[in-house]
Amino acid sequence: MSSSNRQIMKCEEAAEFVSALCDGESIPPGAAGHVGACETCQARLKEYGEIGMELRSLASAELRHVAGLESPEEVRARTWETRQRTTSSWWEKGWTLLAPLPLIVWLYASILAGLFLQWVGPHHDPNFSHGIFVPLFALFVLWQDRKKLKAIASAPSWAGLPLVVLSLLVLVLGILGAELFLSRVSLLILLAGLIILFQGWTFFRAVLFPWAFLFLMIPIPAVVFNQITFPLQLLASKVASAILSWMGVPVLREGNVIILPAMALEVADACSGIRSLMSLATLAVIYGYLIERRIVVRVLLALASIPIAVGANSLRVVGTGLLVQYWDPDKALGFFHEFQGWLMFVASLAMLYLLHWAFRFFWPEGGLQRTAPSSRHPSQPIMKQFGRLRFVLATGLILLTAIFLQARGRNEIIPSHMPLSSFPAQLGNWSGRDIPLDQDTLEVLGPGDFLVRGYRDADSDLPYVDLFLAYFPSQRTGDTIHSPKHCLPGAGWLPEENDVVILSLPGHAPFRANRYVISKAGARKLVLYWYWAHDRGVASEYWAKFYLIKDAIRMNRSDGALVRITADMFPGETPYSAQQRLRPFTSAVVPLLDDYIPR
Amino acid sequence: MADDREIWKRISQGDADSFDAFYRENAPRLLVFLRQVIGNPQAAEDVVQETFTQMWNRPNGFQPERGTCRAYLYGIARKLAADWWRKQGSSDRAIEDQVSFCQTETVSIVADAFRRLPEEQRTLLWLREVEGLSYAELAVIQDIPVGTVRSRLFAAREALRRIWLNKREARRSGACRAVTDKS
Repeated sequence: MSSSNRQIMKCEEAAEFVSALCDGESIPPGAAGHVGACETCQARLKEYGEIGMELRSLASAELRHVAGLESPEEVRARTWETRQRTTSSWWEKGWTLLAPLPLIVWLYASILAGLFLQWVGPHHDPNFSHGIFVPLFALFVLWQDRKKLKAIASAPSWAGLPLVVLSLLVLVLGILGAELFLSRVSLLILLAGLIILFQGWTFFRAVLFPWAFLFLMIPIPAVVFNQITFPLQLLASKVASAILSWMGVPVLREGNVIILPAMALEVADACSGIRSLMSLATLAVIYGYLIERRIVVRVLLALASIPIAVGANSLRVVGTGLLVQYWDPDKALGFFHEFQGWLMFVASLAMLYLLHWAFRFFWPEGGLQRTAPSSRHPSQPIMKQFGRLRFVLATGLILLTAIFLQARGRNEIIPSHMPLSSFPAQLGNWSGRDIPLDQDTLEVLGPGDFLVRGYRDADSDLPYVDLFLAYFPSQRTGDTIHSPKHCLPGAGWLPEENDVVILSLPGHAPFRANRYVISKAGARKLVLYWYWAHDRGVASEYWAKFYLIKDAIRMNRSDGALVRITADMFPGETPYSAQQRLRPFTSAVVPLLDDYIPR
Repeated sequence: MADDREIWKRISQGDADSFDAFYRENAPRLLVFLRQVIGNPQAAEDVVQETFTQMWNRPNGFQPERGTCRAYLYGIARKLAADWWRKQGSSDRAIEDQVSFCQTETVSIVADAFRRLPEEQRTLLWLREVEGLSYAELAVIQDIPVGTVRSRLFAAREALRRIWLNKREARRSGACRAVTDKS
């Protein structure tokens, strides 16, 4: 009995070494001695060996089953297809994306129509005339990737639902708040939400590029767009005038106005940014996608569109300047002007190609593109049962939004107002005289009512004070007030000082206004300007935009105005004393504003 | 055939052809391993893809002095498989399919028993018995001392042996019952 117990004890102690022996590991001599003499341990060793052989047989059978007669790609394709058949109901495949389509079209019909007209309509926006090509290229990319997309299994995620809700809220805010950009962007957020909701993150990642590319079709709000492109246009003008001067052409540049002996160039567009920037950036993205495989180089090419746009614009102005100087001033207009535009676009493409060639020359591709086999997240079978719920929720939300917007569908209130031309020409001692605006300038300003009038105090030797009023009855269609911040430098008036002051005038609550001191060729002017809507004055264009949205929701109105008062400054006069000198005139203007710019 | 360092040098330099060759050579075996560890063929395939993607995206993780390329590959796969199980929220990580003895007569008893083991034991045993990884490599993969590898391998073998013996006995006695119980 005691002997038997000792034998069992020893076997238990030795068992771990039996396992190690099975693995070919060396074991202590004592353990080896026991195993060699113990039938139980030898039986265990044999069983371990059998188990190992069985496992290897299983592995061989599995390997034959998995990849025996097929290449790994074929195995993958087969299992993907199998998986698609087994794990995806029609609710979770394309039908779920297509089924809400009529609803989406209904919801976004007017927004899409407006967008289309902005691309190619009779009054299209030249900054975004490339927009029509953006969805077409996105569709092309999807078509190119169709096999890859088809192979991706559905892994629906509820994370898409908050995005759907967010997009619909943004849409409601955009429509009621008269903010076109928000309304348009909401469509892209909605698409992202639906894709994630029905197909999952992996699928969304696979379509991320065509989805993100769609943002290039949406016109950026002017308040942001000009902020980016205006300095670039100014730079282009500087470069062009320097080149023209170097080529012996007498040139005087005032902001974006290039004055040649025979004529002035770019006058009407003085406060616009580079128009080809967005088109070129879009083209650079397309070019990068089609020609280049390295993502870093693609990004660099897209970024390079900025200096290329500046360069091309400079060249265009130089070309026009040379035509005007050495051939015929009429060549700066009409066919040659248009032709130059196309020529410069081709030149931009050539620059893009050259840059790409340089990238490839100095930084050759190290083998093929780093694209590993596509990764996919584990499926979430538990989610499948919620496919219908997901579908019902998404379409229900879209439907509710559409019904809500239809119910709230009301024609915007365009208040009647007295024409600005009837603004009093006599303000106390100040007598005014209208300064007409030419047709080109009116076209740049957009649909609105404008007044430019020079006032002079008949009883004093004070210089003229210019009053500029720009009233837009509706800003719902995207037409917005041009900021003097861009227009003044664009016309060659460079800001020396600028700050925000509080105007406390009799008969009206104090409000903020911008005060600029601008100069050109030794002359200095003081400029006071503010945005005025519904008896409210604000200095910041961003706050003006905020109040525009708020008032559009609250009052169903999107009208607003810009008030600008400009006066020459005396030599050595401080901005404060000039402002004080203008106070009587400002005090006479502000109480009248509500009569012409409805409260 | 280039050695591990050479293969890895090429892969880390972005040589897609080398990576493709490495993928073709190893993907089927890795898939078989993960099918055994995870038990869900579709998820196993996902993890295979994810493993190679990680390997391609993070080529600096491989240290030749700590093991072979293949061991590194299986190390990534093991971690991802563990993540998959964690997401499933299962505590014992055994593969539970409602398969009965009678229905699986053509399937090896060992294979059936193997599926009853916890995930960690399945991983260790498979990598040792089928893939032939050394104790040192297993220690790196599991992030445990070599001595612990030996004791855990023994525990896994012993657990499998017991299940195997029980099942063999049950089959011999003609019992036909569900095996969802943890033997």
